[in-house]
Amino acid sequence: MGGDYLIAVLSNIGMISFIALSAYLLLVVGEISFGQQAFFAVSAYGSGIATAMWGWPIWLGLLWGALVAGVAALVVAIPTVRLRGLYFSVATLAFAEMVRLILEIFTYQVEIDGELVGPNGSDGFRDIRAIYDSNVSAFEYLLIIYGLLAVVLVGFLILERSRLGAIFRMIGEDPMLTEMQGLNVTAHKILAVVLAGVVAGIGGALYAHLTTYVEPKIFNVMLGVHGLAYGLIGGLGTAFGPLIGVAIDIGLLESIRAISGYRMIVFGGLVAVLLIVRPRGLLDEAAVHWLRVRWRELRRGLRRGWRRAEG
Amino acid sequence: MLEVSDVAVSYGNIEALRGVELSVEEGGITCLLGPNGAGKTTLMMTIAGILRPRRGRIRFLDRDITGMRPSGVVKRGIALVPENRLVFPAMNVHENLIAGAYLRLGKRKAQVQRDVDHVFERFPRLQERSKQLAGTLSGGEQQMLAVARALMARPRLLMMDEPSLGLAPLIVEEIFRIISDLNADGTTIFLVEQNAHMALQVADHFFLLEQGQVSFSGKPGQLSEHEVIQRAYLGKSAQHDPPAGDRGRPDGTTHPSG
Repeated sequence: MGGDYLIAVLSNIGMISFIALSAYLLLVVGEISFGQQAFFAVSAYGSGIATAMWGWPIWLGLLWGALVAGVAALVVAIPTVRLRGLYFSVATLAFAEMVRLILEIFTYQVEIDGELVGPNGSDGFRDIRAIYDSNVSAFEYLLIIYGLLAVVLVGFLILERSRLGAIFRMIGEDPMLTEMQGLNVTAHKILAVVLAGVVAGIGGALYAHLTTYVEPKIFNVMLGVHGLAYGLIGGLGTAFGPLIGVAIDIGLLESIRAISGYRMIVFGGLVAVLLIVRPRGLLDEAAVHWLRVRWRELRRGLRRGWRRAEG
Repeated sequence: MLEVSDVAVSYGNIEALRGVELSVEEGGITCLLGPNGAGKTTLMMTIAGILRPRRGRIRFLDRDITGMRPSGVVKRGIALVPENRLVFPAMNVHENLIAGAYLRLGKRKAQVQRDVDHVFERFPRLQERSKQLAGTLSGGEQQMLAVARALMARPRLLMMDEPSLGLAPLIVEEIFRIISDLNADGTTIFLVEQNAHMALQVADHFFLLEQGQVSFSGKPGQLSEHEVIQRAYLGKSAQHDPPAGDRGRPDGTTHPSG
């Protein structure tokens, strides 16, 4: 208990946030993916191989993991983005299960200091020890996780104010009307899937190095379903939405001992209720719009008050 | 300006258009009238590149645009105000307008901003609601926003699919006044309408589309309004000779059922 437990919970929130942001980006362009855990997995293995077997430094391993996830996403995106609605969801789910089953039989080991290191099928991949070998403490690693999360979040906030972010939202609202504005919907969707893959990949690489051990069954569909649910709970109007979803689930439900045994029931109920009451989450587009208007009024009011105080 | 020749479009086994021939002259207002299910919307969607014709050619400004992607058609200078799906509801009015000009936003921001100002002059009501979410506008305001957004693409040809659909009579008159103004300022207009009475007042030329084929082409006045309305609302099968001299003036807002 105490500090270690808190650091563990916060680390978990941080890493899961990446998969939540990844699923959120696809929800923004109007696609529901049940397969973002695949990119998390691909990067966990890829970065683990890079640091534990090839001896790369951690930062390069993280970068490599994210890159591999991005390439995997591109491979998935090209045939699937033309699919609409349910078909895209099923295709992503099938891809993720395929990745998991391949990892069950994927064996690639080398001998390092007399021991075999590397993925060994369903036994998993042990000794991804880079952060312990270089004496990074749990707290320092927590800072790394949140530093990267902050970078990604700032990226999302910049994206939301940009032309590209607006096009993503237009596609999510009405792809045909977007096409009629002269925009290439397919190309933009492929870009969104690749970006989402990279974001999930960063989380996967961080995860592998914190736990030092990954196995295929961790990356089952429930991981992806949770990632998807966070955006739907927290809201699709802003990138803060999925983070609020993660905080509610892991921060509140998992941490309150009284409901610990019922976490999944409470969580499932929460998702069901919210889908009825607020189909696009707590911070949906209308809520974000309302907050922006209030914020503008507040600033204007303050400025007026300031001027009066001066004059 | 726009020439459609022998265009046929099918949905599966059902032929919606069966060799349509028509042309739109530069600078005018051309109307397409016809009963429900005649294929008017199908034709608009085909010209805009959303549907692909099974056969036939579509030429615009002497270039073949048959089978071109919607984005390519927009770049050539054709903007479509579609029926029913007008605006991006969760984006505000200003963002909706900018959406119409994304193709040139990167390089010509100042020009786009001038166009926004210009559009706001034409539609003062939209300026008042510039920061409001488009989904919260009234039906008439959404239609105006859809027209305004289409103008942001600086189209040579503006195609409108039933702009009067579901709007109150006063708003319909306002929409048609806007259509005439736009045309007077130099935009060629191709209009699909159910409201034959209003359409014939503004049109320079009109076509009747019945059962996937053009059955009449001419100027308003060449057919009595009574006959146009009968054929436009009911199709040829329901046609009978109108009483001589009776130029029926039905309520301009009447819509056919179904």
